[in-house]
Amino acid sequence: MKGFLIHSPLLHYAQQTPDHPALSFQGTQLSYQELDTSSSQLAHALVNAGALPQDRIGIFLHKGLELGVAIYAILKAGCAFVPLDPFMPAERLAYIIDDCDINILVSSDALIKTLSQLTTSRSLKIAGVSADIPFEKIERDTISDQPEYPPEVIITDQYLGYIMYTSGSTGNPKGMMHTHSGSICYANWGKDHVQLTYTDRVASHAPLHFDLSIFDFFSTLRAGATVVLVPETVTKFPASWTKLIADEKITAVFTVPYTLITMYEQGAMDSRDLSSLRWILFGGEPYPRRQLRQIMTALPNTQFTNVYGPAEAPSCTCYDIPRPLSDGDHPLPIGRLSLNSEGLVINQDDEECRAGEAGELCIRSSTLTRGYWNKPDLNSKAFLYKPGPGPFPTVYFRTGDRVQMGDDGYLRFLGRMDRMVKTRGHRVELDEVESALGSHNNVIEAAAFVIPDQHASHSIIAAVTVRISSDTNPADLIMHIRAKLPPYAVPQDLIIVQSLPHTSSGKVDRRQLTEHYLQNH
Amino acid sequence: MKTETLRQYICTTLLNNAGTTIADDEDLLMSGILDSISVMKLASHLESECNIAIPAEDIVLENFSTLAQIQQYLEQRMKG
Repeated sequence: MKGFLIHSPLLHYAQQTPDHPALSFQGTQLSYQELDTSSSQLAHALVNAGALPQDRIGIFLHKGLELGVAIYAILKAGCAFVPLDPFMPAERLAYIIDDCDINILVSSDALIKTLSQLTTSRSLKIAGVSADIPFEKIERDTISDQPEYPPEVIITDQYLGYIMYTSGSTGNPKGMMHTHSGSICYANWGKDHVQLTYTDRVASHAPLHFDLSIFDFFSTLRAGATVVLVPETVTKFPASWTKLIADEKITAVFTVPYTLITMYEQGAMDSRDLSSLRWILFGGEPYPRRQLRQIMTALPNTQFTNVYGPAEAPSCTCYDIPRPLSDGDHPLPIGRLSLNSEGLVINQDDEECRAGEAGELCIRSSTLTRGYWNKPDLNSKAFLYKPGPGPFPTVYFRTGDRVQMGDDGYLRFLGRMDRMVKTRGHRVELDEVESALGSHNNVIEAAAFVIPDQHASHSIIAAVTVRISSDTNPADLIMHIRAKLPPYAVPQDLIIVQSLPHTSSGKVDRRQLTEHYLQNH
Repeated sequence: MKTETLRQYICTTLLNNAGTTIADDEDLLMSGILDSISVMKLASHLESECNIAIPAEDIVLENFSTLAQIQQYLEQRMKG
């Protein structure tokens, strides 16, 4: 082990505060010492199963204590973890496994249905499963026999810690590579900004493939505090979610506006004592002032912070919401660049904009991704190279976000440069939705667009033309794309039309389509 | 409301796929059949169909995880 690694705090607190809970899930806990020893044992088992430093290992698990053990075991083995969403269709799962050459998965019996449907040419080894599956298993009892200290593996802070897959415009997801050193900067930022200490209880409700989870685990353990894992089912019910916050005395949470807006608007906060909640970070989508003002009034002692940063460069700006929040409905600032980041606002010619001019935000950050796995073409487009002070160029990530610097020194988000949208905080490339629809034999042309929903987020809608001779109906198409896309990317409504409107340049006129849809639905 | 009517509503309206099969005790959340948006649609549909009010504190995991639980909740609510 060399330098400070993303799992170093676990080893430190396992010595300092061995009995303090590191993870808590539905009334059961793992202390720092227990998490340390069980993750070391699994790490040995992974190494014995053939895991080499910097191999990618998939985590295919629901929320639970095993999820935390898997993360730390994979890191201790010198490997990079790849979150695989349990709600993801088997086809997409297989794509990711093949794309980043995963040979080992950590999973559980709860997911054998999807595991059995997995068609991959790889000879996978699976840990954590005792039921019959068509893959080789790393048996449970061989794990508990392993040593309780980490395997001797050389790991540097430039090693990859995780690869996170997100929607890709080509029709397949793309994986962002993150190093130990970048993840530590992100973890430190979270711990310092929220002033997390030993007594904090941070709710982890974001799925592992959503980068908020990096804050949940690594900022919390960096502070020696407790991660309270929230079952996926709970977050679907605002009243169950607020009950958990009250019962578990949650002190901090990083979430998306959608969750907070539904929590407030459905009256789920009314009968609960949420006074333990001292800090709420939110990001992913803009939070309308009117709705933010409502929840800030309901939680008078909670600090709210708007965090901005693509998953490629998490938390590069943030804005602590002042109290009282000023009137009006102008968008909230995304704030100033954090200590970790430097930014440029550039115009169409890749030149820096004049003060106050709108342009694309390019970010250079210590949390910056090392690039997309196995996607050289995308990497050459996604980064901006400017002459550096030394022999090497300075590399900026093109966020694709249009921003403007205000007179007050705060950046404001104006919209996207491309066709990426956010739905309930999740990133979706509309091109990917269209590509999934287009792969159906009877589809001639597909267009995806978004309409605003009542919770300050967006609903995805698709309009499709199909071969006249076919009797394809919307249900067939929905079923077809459910097998390809994550659930949140499946359109809320799909209409079959005779023809799609086109602009004079021949492109689908999505503006007309959106207006037409809103008028008629 | 009969379990069959409920099942049909979830399959045809919420999932847009009449061909889906859902067992009475199947976990609607963990299997990905329902998500946060469809739970809300389902609750407001039940309110209008059964002519009852479903308070926010009742829209919880314990009442909405399976067809059988929803059925049981509705029966209780309609009695009370």
